[in-house]
Amino acid sequence: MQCVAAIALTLACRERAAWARSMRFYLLLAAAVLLFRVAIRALFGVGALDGQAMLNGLTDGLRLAAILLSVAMASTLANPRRLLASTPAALYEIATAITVALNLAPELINSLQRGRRQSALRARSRGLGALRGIVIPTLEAALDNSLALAASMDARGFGNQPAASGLKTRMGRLAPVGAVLLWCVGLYALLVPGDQILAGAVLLVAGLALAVWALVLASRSNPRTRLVKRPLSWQDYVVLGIALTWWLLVVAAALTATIGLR
Amino acid sequence: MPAVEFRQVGFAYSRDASATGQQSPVLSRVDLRFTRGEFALICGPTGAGKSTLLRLINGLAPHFTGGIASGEILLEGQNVLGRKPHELAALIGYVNQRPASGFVAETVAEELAFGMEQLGYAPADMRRRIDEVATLLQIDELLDRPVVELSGGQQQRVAIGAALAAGQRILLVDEPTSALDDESAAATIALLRGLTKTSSITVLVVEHRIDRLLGAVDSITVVRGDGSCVQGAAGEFADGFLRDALLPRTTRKTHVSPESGDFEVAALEVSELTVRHEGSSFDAVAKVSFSVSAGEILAIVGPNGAGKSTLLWALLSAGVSAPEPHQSRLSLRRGRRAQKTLPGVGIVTDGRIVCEPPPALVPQDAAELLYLDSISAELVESDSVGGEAGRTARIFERLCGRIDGSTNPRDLSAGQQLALAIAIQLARGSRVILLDEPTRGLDYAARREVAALLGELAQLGHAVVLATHDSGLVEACADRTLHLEHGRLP
Repeated sequence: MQCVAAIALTLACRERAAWARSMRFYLLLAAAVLLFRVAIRALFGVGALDGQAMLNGLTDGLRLAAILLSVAMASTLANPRRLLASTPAALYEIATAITVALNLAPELINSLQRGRRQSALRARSRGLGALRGIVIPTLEAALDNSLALAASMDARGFGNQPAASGLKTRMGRLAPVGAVLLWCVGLYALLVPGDQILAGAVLLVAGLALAVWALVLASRSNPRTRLVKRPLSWQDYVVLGIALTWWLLVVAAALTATIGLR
Repeated sequence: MPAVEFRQVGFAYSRDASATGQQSPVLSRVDLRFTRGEFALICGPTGAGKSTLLRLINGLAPHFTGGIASGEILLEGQNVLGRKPHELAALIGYVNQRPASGFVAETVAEELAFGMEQLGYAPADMRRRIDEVATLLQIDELLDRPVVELSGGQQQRVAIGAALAAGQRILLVDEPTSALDDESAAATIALLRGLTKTSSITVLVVEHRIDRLLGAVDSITVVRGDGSCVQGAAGEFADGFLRDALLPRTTRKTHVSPESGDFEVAALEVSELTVRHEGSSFDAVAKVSFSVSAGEILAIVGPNGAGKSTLLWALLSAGVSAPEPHQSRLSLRRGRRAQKTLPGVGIVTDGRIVCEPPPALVPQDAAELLYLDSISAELVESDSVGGEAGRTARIFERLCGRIDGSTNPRDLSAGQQLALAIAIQLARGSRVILLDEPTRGLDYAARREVAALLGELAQLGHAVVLATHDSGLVEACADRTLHLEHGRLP
């Protein structure tokens, strides 16, 4: 169901033909994963080879396919560069890394197309050796491009650390560590048999608050500026809200299930 | 005080240089000086270490390339060797060989702003600097355009602007004109010279096509390839380089050897050819007609974007058997169905191509066709597909002489790689060979090899069609030229 939703949404919102190509690539990959899952279940599954086992394999495969297609949707619909402009400053490096990674799929597709042109130029004998002729140059080209991009960004100052200034930066560095510690203890309290559910929940929330504060602190002390600040629009907030709610529901369900078990 | 000074600088890819097969380190005890506002050219044979020299200045070597650097590089007295590139971003701007691969943003204005964003400029200051740089580099009308839609020359200017946007005083440019035609190249060089004179920016350029820059630069540094460098005023080196740049006219006997038959019969005949890219609203090539005979070299020339490559690839993708004259309508439809539609290649929408057997094409980067580990493996692979054993080897030897079969194709010189690619393509029996920009990025020695190679091919009775903007090569080997502008013959 999620697969269908992902595909439908993408087709509906697709803006430019160029992006559609990477969608096809992801669709093929998802189909391959699905088939692979079913095949594995058929060949190596324990128990009788009947309709139930096939259905299980199919469901498993569909779950993976749904994840793949969600990534595909993000990569196809989202304009990664505009995304960069909207992220909080503290997450800049991560956002850039994701942007560059999302860019990789179209790059790989370009290389693959070049590879197809080359194989039209030079007929190859079938077999693994021939595959090498396409795979290696494609990977080489993709790697070279990524490295060139990274070098260009570094040469223009990307990765510059703010000059350390005493108390604020030290607090800024310790806060995330503290948040993670709080989360660990909180989760432990929740999962271990005993009566500390409330304590565990409080610790989790406290950890979350600390993480948010660390983010705000880091953003403020960041030297990076933005030419055009693109604040998130209400549509962005709606999407974020849906995603966050879904995630919280899943986490809550998992936690209550685990707590119910003990 | 010099703007950039090298003191006993050395660079090697490993501590024990001989272990990697290299006989000597890339650079060894190099001393150089560049004054402020100087327009300096750095040249030398392929692989000598010119780009490495440039990268040492802004830290990309050794941080991105690996290797060990020694000595001192002083920028206005401060040693910067070993510092990371982003620490020097405020002082030095760097433009890579392919500027398009370094673009981060969507529009030109955002691209110019990227560097300043990293350095924490206020938005108002950024806007002011963007306007200043755009005026300086004449890209003001392009500020809102997406970078992917720009031409090669425009992308070059945007990359230079992005490198200088934060007021950097030193600009390093790696091979700015190799992909440009003569006109765009001259404009770019004039632009760089203007930067040095009006803004006192020190510009260091690495370039193969020295003849294009000789008149504009103040000094020349030659990276010899044995680790040493020699630097001097432009005038001292001029004669030697101009001599090297000149390609001698390839002499060949005009009669055709008996293998290829009658000289008058056209090996390739094209009439009213029209090609259009998928999803495009105009013809990339429109109503082009020409013919080439065996033993003839035809050069297709024209500015970048004129449609030369599109024409060549269309000739290839429409390679079908010759239709009968009275069946022209039917043959066109048959031709279209038989045509393989390759991604990124134009589709023939009108016209006729008569070429039997179908032509062979060698793309811009000939080494792309080679993927095996040794020459003999490549030759065997080519024969197994082409049909006749030993044929590729024969062609290769004719073009190149005897070369040890166990050599890795990547170790061959550019001219030898081209010869191998040509031999592989010709093994299928084609008489017509199409070459797309065979001398792009090659130094003078390699260019001479390519010119000789083309002469040899014609001597053997092949028809050679060459798309190029290297006017020296055209003068040296072409029998005829075809001027293409906006896909049309004017």
